Amino acid sequence: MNLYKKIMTLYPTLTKDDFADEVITLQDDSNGKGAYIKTWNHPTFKKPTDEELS
Amino acid sequence: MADIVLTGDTSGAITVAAPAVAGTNTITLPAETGTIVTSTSAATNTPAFAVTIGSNQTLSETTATKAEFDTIIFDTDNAFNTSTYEFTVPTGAAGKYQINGLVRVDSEVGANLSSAIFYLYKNGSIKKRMYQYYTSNYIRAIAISMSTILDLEVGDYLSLYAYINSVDDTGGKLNSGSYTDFSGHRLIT
Repeated sequence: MNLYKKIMTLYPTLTKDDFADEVITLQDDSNGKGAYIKTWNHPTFKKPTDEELS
Repeated sequence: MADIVLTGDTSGAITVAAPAVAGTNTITLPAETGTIVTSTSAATNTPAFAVTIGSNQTLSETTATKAEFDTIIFDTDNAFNTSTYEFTVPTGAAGKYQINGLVRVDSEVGANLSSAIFYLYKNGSIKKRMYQYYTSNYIRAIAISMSTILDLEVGDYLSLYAYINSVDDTGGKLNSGSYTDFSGHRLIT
């Protein structure tokens, strides 16, 4: 499951606009380390922990 | 007077010659210290580079992903790294650069692409973005290009990122070969 789907599983009421408008930004630097949360500015939901995303 | 010969202090000479044609022309030298550049001088638009993506690259859903430009077309100063997919301004080459980018973001299914973003990153941060957004009448794929001029210092590095938002939440691909371009050169200023 990719990072986007993991986050949506935790917070099903998030919308795609939250990810497109830089409320939440995911990034993959193509360095073999995979995607990560670059910024999290959601006013209601807290940033998931690594444990929650594992 | 046909020619003027300037003899060097220790050796050599430079001859200033007029063409053997009719008419009178005037060359005015600038009232400043400097070097006159000729057609064979080293004033070139380098460093210059052009690279492409060798094979289709997976894009995860709603994730800005560094485009893997791994195929060199030319790279005058060995300034493009095909492992990090970055152009880095080499020593002695600061200046204004024309930078170009082209990608094709493909959702791989008809009427499945909701939005796509093409980013130019400088030193790991967004410098420019092209954002294509559809509220309806979704498409399958879109080619996005950008062109800009940046003032760069030695050690500055550039990379391109792409983002996909697909209706079916499965992400997509960056197409390869002629669908892609990352190129640039320093401007003579």
